[in-house]
Amino acid sequence: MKSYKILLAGTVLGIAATFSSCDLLDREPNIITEDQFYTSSEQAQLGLNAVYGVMNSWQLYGCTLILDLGYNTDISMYMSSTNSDMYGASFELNANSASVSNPWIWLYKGIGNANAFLEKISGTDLDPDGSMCAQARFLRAYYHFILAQNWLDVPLKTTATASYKDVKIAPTPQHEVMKWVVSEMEEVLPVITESFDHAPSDVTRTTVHGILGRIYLYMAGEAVSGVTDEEKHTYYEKAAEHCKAVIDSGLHSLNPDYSQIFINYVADKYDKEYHESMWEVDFYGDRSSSMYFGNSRWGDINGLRCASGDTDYASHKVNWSNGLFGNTYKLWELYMEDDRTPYERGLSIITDKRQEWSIPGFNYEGSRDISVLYPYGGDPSDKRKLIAAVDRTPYYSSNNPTEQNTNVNQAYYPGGRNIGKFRREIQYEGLKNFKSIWTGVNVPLLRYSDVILMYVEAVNERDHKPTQELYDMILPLRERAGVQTPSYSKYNTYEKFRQYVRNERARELCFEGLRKHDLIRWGIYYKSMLEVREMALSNSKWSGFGSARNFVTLTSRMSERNNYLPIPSIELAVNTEMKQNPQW
Amino acid sequence: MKINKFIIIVLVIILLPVSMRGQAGKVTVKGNVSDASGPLPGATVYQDGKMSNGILTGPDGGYTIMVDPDATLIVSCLGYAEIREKVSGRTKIDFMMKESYETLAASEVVSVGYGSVARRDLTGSVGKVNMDDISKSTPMNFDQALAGRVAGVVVSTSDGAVGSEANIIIRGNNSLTQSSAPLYVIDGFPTESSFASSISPADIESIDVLKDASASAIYGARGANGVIIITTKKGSQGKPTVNFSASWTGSKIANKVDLLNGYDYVRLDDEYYMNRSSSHTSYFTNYLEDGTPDSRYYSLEDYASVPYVDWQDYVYRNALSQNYNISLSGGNSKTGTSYNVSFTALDQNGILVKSNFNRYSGSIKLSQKIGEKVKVDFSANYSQANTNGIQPSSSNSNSTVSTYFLYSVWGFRPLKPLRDGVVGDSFINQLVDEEVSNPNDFRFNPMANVKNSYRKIIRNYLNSNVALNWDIIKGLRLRITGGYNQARTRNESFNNSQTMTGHPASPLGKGPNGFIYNTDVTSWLNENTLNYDKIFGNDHNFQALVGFTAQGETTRFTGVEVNHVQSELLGVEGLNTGEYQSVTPYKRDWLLLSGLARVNYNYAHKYYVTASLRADGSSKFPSGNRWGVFPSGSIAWSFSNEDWAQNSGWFNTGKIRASWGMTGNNRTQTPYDYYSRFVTRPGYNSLDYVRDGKTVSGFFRENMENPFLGWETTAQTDIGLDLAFLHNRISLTADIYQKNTYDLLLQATMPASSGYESAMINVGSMRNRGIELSITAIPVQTKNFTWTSTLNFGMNNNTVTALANNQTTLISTIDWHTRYSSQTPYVTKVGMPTGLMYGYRYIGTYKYDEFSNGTLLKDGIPYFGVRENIRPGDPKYEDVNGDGVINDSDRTVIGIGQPLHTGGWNNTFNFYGIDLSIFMNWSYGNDLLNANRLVFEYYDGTQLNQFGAMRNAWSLERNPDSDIPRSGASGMEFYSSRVVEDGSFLRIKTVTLGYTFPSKWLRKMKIQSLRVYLTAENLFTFTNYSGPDPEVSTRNSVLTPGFDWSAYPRARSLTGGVSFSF
Repeated sequence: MKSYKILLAGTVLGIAATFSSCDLLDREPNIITEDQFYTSSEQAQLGLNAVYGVMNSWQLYGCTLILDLGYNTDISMYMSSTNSDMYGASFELNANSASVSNPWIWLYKGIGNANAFLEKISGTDLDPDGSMCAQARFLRAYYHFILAQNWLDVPLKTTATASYKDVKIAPTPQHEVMKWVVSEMEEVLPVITESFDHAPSDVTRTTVHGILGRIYLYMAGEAVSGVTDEEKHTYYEKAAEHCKAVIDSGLHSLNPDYSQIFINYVADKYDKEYHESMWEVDFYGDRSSSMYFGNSRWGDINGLRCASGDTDYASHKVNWSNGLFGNTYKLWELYMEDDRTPYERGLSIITDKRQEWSIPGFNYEGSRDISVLYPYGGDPSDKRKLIAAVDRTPYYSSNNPTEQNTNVNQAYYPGGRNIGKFRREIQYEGLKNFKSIWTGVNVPLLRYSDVILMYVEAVNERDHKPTQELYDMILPLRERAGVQTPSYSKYNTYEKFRQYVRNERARELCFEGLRKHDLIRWGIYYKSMLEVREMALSNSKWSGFGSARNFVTLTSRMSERNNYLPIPSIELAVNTEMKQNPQW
Repeated sequence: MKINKFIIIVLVIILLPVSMRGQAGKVTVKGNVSDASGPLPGATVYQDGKMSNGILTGPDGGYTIMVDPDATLIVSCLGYAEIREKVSGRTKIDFMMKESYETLAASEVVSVGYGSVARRDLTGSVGKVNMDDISKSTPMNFDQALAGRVAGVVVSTSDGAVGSEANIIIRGNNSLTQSSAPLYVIDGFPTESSFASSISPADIESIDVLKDASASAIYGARGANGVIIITTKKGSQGKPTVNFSASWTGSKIANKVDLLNGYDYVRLDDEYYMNRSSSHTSYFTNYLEDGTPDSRYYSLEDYASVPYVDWQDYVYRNALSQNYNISLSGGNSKTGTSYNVSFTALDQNGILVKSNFNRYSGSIKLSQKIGEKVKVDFSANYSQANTNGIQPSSSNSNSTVSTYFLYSVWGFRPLKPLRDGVVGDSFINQLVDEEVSNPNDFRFNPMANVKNSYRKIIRNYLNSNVALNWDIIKGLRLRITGGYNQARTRNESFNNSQTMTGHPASPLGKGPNGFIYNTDVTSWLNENTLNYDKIFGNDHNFQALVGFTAQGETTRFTGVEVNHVQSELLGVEGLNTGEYQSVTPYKRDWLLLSGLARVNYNYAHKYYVTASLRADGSSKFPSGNRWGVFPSGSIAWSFSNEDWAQNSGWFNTGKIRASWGMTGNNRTQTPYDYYSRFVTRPGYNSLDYVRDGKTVSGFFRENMENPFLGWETTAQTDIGLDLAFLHNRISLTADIYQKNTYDLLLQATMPASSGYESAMINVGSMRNRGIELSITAIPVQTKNFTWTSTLNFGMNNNTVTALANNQTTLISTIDWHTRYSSQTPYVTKVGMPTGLMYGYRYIGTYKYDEFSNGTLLKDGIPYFGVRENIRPGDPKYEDVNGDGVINDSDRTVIGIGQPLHTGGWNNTFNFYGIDLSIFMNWSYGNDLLNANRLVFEYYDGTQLNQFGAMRNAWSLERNPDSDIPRSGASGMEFYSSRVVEDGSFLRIKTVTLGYTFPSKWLRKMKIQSLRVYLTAENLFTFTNYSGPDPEVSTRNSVLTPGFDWSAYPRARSLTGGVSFSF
């Protein structure tokens, strides 16, 4: 009897002891916390990487933000019959679309990472010169700019969300967000390095100037509501000022070879000589292995098509590309008709090297017979080869690069050509990739030629008149392209010069993801699309082609609401402070 | 035979010494006790009025007893009617016992967690699975055999795949984003996994289902979804018995899908091009022309007699399976030993080529008395189960619809154009279809794919327990147990160059690829309970339990994944020769400490009170919220034991029960959900950056800390009634319950602007109400013929009462097809049940006379998108809000995912030695989303074969009134009521015919029992569902029930089996 009493007592005590000592339940979790992690500057850098790192996701610059949402313009168009998840490109967006929610999520992830990073690192000796925090603040502002640019009024987040109970945030008006953006950027400007050590993947001071130029131009344009004329003038002034700072720094110059700029993007090379590419999103790898896990679809979606179902992929001299985009006839005309001297206009050949490079007369799929081109690969019985692009694989058929026959180029397919800027030839890319839609092609964010064009535009808008000096600043771009330029007298009014600059932006910067927002800030996105639609319907040089019919179908789904995006429904569902944008 | 072994042991101990003594003036009576099926061991034979003079019958049913010559002998055995007979000087008396449901019912013992009670003393709602019914045929896995067996327990399998585990839901869904599966207690070991593919059903002694809070609250924090207690077979006293059973099964596909034949397919394809063309005379066609536009060399009729391929014939087979179980059990009452060892082997072939499930298991149970007061139990069960072959319902690589296996089986072309000169099945070895141009279409020869894809899941399972029982004083027992449980899963996959993803032409570009993933879950358990059992006076029955337990679990995951394997001949062993992919390993662990107490009291088996309390502390929650206390209480009144009732005579059992209690749920996503985690994430959704041409890791805060995370709590009220009439010929159990679940553990979507995508928080609430009914009736009971009929019925009504942050709707997408990826086929709304189907309401096709000139839709008719694009034969959706256009805001609820009621009906007929049982189960009122039809009743010209329904698609010439949209229709790519169908069914699930040989024949051969049987499974299903099988849910979750896409087809099978023991 005694023994069980002892045991009973022991049991009760045991229970009591267990209950009182909660320490037993404190497991050492198999995770890391920030406090454990941030112990050195090197580790702080790893945190900063994740602020940058949202950009080289497929959700932002790898694919969705630019290729899906930003690529359908008056000069480039989506050419696939299936929407293949490209809801933006096929104008089949709604607030539920992943194409809308993914970039939204990732931009705010970047902002969240920046806020968390700043809260942990700011003012500590892990970032002695403050340069890492300055970059984080710049990026946080830049992401807010992209958000406000695409979604109008958006939540402005300057602190990390501390609790799930505190997640409803009212939107800040677009203009206010942008004003905050530029003030943040101007504030960190002096702290950002001028050194090119990690450029162009990391920002430098001139990059910040250039981006400020872009944002001020955007604020001065038609897209942002509630901006007074006085403010517009100031913004043009500021835009010009910042662009001038880049030009005057003398750190950047034009790469004499236009195509080399893009070969560098494809080859994963930084331009360390001219620094024309001022900021780019670096991507790496075809996803064949974990060390080589790229997120870019540049060169695939917007490449020269090389996507045959043949099993002899290994023998192709180019890497895989679906080539889902092509040019509109308008771009063709911009190169062939507008701003050409009468002499050049009389020629039947392409003279603008930018045209040759951007919309070449071939891609890498189809029959290997150069001589027969249109419409069905020359072999009507073989419908496999029925593809909406010029059907030539010169590099394959001869095993050697052949000269392009510029005569041939003009004769066929003025619209709906694949985009050649980011062509994935092995001789450029440097290696034969595994068959993969994922590429290592880098994405341009800011080029020096853009800065020049922004500057001349800003000054013309500010002063409402051009100058010979402005005209002269554009000439190097034209000379590099190998084209003659009509004299200044053709452009000596505000309107004429404005149109010239707009055209030149298309010719110089096409397919780099800038056109849509250029059109929006000029207030002519929908209007321009309708003009091109009219071309597709009635211009006999284009209207017979499949690409023209496709453009009509695409634009039939379009309206003024495409100047901005719907607020994703996943945000509206939980952040009840938000309202849907008009017309969505 | 239902024998309460414990009582036997006690009786043996008490009675044996008495019977040894011989006394003068008495006669020795010998004889045999038997029942309908043979000798009855373990029956008690004693002298009336002198209970101390008694004996148990031996294994052969024999007894020898010394009694007074004029005494009356009483023979009793649990489950049988007592027999009284005067000795009257005889020395040999044989007794024939008759089964009695009255005593059977009284003796039925039910596990209630940390103990067991007689069914008649139960105050909570506990369902007992009749293992006799189940083991009449030999099911491969126990979980699937539970379907329709217990009221309120919904058992469903996602599809017909061999070796897959069933989804079991007790009394409705409690959680939204987390699992609603019950807690399993396997030989005392609580786990969140059923291990149904690892445990051989032949080893199972009993399965009890704790449904209400009074029953399940003893499992406190983990009892909210109900508890299923599985007890494996123990040894019994007596001489060694060998049980052997074997069965052989042949199975074939129950329903092949009706696909278009060659002629119909060509016609459909032809119509596609015609419909898409602006003029009917100028269009391309794949099959009728010789290669030049507008020139027709072949006519449709040319295809009428051309042989075509039904790819289903090449990937399905008639499959043979075999199943063997052998066990040895016995015990020695003198040494206090009992044991049961068993070995089972199962080799089950699936109807899909190369699919196979096999399992080898061994188990041992040993019980040994040490001295008078101490007993040690030891048990161990080890098994290896292998699942082989392609799983059609899981994607091969990503969300592209064509990577699902059945896409190619149903969709691969049935024939090629005549101009190709390839007629009949001579292209069955062609791997890829050259007509497929969509870069996202991975269509691949299904026969080659199924043969060359290597898939293997190896599950090793060990469950071992040891228990020390010490009877400290009479009625007070201490039990200390220790257990160790290990589940290792190795998942292997290899795709060589002859498979969908490994083929050089695959758009995925992975080359030969494969992976090996290892998941290793180990858990340990210690339980210490003190049980006190005493009868005060005559009528105060008192039982108390206190205890504390500790359990811990660790999960480890590692893996290797490789593409572009160089030496594909070696399969997974050659993975070292390829390009390594990123696989993130992890280790997770948790610890649970609990204290528990329960008191049962009843007065004269009339008035019952039960109360229990459990406190749990879980490491999954932050220190302030760790401890949860879960009380429960119940009362019952067994009015049939009242004097007035005993005299009324018309009923035998009558009891009213009422219970209330609280239970919890701690199933978070990971055990560390309340921490803010700082991570780097390589791969698809990486936040790494690339600088200077090199990938540099990005570390970021993945989620915010949640210091408030705690239990999900369910409060449940249950009122029940147990009745039995007419000498227990009719018995009935009815329950009505209401469960309120609040502080749901929800993986809640955060506004993206917060910087985080989701968080595990306690928010929202839910209610389940329902009625359950089980009836057993014995309409016929004669000497040689018995008909027993058991019906159970469960009806549950589920309502979401609140969601996160005042949300009214929770939307769910299903990732299966890029075309539908941004649509939400399921919603869960406040005030409505979970998992409603959502989309447009389909109201047929646009007819010709709704158009001016047959091309422009007339004014006032609602349309989708661009009016000019609508053509006759296009799908027409209801303009729900009446604004004249059909757009997002016209989406509405189009289906209900949960059944209104479910149940089962079993009929058993015993005729001499022949037994026939027919078991049916049903589900009523649930809808299914037949996603197969979104692909295979939507011809978009991509050379994808279609379902037979497309024969009757709208066509101006042939079928102008058809409501099946035309070939090449536009506006098809939406979830709509077109593909939502009634999923109600009544299935004749098993029919078993058996014969038990009479024991008198067998005795000579020293065989105790011998039975042979034939079982037909899945014999027939009554349903209106157009898909292959209505029991389907390939994306099964609370939020997304009843989705049918590329499900492994169900088999119909015939089993022959034999079981005997000696």
